[in-house]
Amino acid sequence: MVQKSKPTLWRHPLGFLARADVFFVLLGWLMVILVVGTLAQASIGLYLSLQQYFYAWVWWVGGVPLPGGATTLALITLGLAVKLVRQRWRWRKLGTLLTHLGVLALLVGGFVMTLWTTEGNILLAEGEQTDFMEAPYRVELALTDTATGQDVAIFPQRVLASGATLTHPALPFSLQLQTYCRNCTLQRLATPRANPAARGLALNFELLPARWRPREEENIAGAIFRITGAEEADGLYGVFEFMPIPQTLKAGPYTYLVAMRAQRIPLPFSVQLVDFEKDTYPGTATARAYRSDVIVTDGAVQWPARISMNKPLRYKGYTLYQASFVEGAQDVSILAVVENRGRLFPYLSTFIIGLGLLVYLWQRLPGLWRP
Amino acid sequence: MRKWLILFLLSGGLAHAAALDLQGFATLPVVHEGRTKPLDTFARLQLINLSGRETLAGQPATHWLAQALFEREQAFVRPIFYIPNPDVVQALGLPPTATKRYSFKQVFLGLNGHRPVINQLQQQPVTALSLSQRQILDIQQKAVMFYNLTQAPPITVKTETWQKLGAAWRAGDATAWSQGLAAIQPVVAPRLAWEVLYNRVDPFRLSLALYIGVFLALLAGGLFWRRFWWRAGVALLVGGAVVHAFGLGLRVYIMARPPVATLYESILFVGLVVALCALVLEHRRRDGLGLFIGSVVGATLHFIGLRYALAGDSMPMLVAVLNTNFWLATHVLTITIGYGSALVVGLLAHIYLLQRWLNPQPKRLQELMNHMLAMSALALFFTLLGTLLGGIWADQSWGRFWGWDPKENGALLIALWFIWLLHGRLSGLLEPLFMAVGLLLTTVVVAVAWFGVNALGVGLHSYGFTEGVLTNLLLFCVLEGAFALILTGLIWRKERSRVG
Repeated sequence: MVQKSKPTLWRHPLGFLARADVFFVLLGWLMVILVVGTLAQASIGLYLSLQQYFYAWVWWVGGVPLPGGATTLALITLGLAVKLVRQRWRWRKLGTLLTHLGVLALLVGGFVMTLWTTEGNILLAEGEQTDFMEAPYRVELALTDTATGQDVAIFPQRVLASGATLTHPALPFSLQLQTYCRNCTLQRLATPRANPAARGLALNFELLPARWRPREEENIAGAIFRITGAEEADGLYGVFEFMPIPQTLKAGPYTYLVAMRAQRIPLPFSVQLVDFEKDTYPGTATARAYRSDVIVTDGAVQWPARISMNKPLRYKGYTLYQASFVEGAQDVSILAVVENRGRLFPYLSTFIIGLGLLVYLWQRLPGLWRP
Repeated sequence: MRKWLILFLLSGGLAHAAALDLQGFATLPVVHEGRTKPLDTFARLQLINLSGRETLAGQPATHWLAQALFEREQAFVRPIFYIPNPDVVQALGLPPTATKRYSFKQVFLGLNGHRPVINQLQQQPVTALSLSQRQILDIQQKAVMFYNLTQAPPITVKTETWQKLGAAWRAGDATAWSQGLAAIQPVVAPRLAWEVLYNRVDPFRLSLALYIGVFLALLAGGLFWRRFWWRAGVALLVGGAVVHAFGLGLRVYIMARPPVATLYESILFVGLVVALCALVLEHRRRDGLGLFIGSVVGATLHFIGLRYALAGDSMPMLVAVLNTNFWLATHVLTITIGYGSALVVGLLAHIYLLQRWLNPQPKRLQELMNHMLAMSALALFFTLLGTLLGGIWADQSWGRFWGWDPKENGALLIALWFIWLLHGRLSGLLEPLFMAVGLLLTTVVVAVAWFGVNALGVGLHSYGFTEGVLTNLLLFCVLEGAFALILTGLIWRKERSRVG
């Protein structure tokens, strides 16, 4: 496998990375990150653990910067590439070589996919149609013209912060965020807010920042903000995700709907849910299978498709799979959407790695096994 | 041993040879928890739930159920409710008994005497209750369940036919009984009949007995008739593996799906993989090492499996995402073969360290190290391929290859651990002693990835976690760590003193 390091390797600046002992340390470190990042999921959830450990260039441990998952994997990938280039290729080493090639393809593919993958969800009740997906765990503050239903201004999560002032060329007024919390607790005020300009939610409620919960969907973003420049509509407003009562404000001839909602990512086609069905095992509520019958519309072309458990719909680089559902008066189907351009990499590399390891076993096992 | 086995099988058969044909009754189809199962399985589940046992006074659960259905008054006075907590016994005003089992009548009267208290307890949230209070409510629930069980036939049947069957049972009329059964189910579905056989033969307990037999043969061989006992051990291990495989095969046939989809099934399958690996090892070494590993790991896994088997129906219906798929089957089987071979490597490493401490012969140690390396390479092949195939399944089903889900990470960790150790050894960075310590700790890595991940309670794979597993897991890790540490210390001291 890894050859003993030779002094010549030092001549190349990257040769250092191909050394066996360096790889040994890097892989050991990767295992540490893997274990810590996995354990952390119990308290911070998958999404934050990705950001802090696996996709992170730097892992901060009590103020000390240490290499994160991305850095460690990048160094291992580079080292492997250098090693493969500089190694002499021999038949005797075919198994090792193939395996290493496969791993390199897997790692490179992993980087490509991580950079190019977009994930989201589609929630549809029967009959509803959509041409966007909702990004997981990221929110946006959107102002929509109630007359046309068109979004007028959208403020993404990265500009949302307590104290920030939000302006948009299409808006005649500005928003000053008094409070913004990615996870809020709604608290009813004992007495209505003293501020005479408070409107709607802000009149009787306060939003308090709360700890981030490991079950990501339980985090509810919200904001209390002041509108200035809208004349009589000026005042203090409040919104939060999944709010039952819409918050509107009138400025000039327009009425705006203000909403804190999951960030929307447009799709190059639209999906309409025709029918959602769930099979259960006899006499139980346990689902055996569920499926959504949808109509996909792309430009002038329209066709029906069925999405069921383990049988996703793939179109234009997007994969739509049946993730979950909400049962109620009207069933809501939850489809998860992944846009993924490097799909072939893992298949190819799994094949090469499997083949390489088989050849390796064939070449090496007899020597180890025979007396 | 063999004679004993035959007796064991026969005794199981004889106990069922009652005056009435229980076999026909046992195969009646019951729809329960979403699955059509033979009445035999249903009766066992009910009896285990109530009394913690599969049989009652030497009679099969089916017999008990028949009595509960057709001779209520007698069933009501049989002691079946298992109440191990003396506080609960006292609270219900029951007399203390040696068997800790009480009849429905006793429990009913006990519960009735405390009706107001129980009503009050039922108003409280479960978390506010003490252990005995929770157990009292549990007994109350079981009593209601048992009462309901006796009130209606568990199968779909005409009332008239059912009543005739009951009359035949009470009269002990074998002809009318058989006719009644035939009227309900003229032809027995083969799957149901095989499941009854599976329940009766209990292949995994049988193979557990055989694996323990292997261990005893090894012990005996250390004292006398070495050759004879070695052969007996090999025969027993082969027998155990065959019965084990037969049991798994039966399950595949009964459920009409691949053998591994639940935690319990992964334990069964890994046990078989270990037994087979052990046989291959024994074939090569012929010194009892394979027999030792096969018997110890095989029996231990069966013991763990028994705990899961008693937790409910061991053939549950699968949640939608596990509802079968080619990639899922390949992925799970490959990765569990990896777990099995990794456990064999871990056990070999224990032996290596012991041998190096007690009886260090460089040639034999070298040979053992080579065998460990060979098995590790094999384990790496299966764990790495299994992990990648899992990714492919994820891509097929969810459109993404890798999501850093705890179970995925656990599987990856085993593969990385092997990659780390093998590269360390082959590049000479790891001395054989530390290589052996690393390989020993493989058992810890496997145990954590296999059982520990479910304890996290997050992610897509957090199925099948039961209380108490975490404690046992931690204990296991500490013991293994201590073993490695102490032996390393002992070896180090001995080898240093020899050099000095």
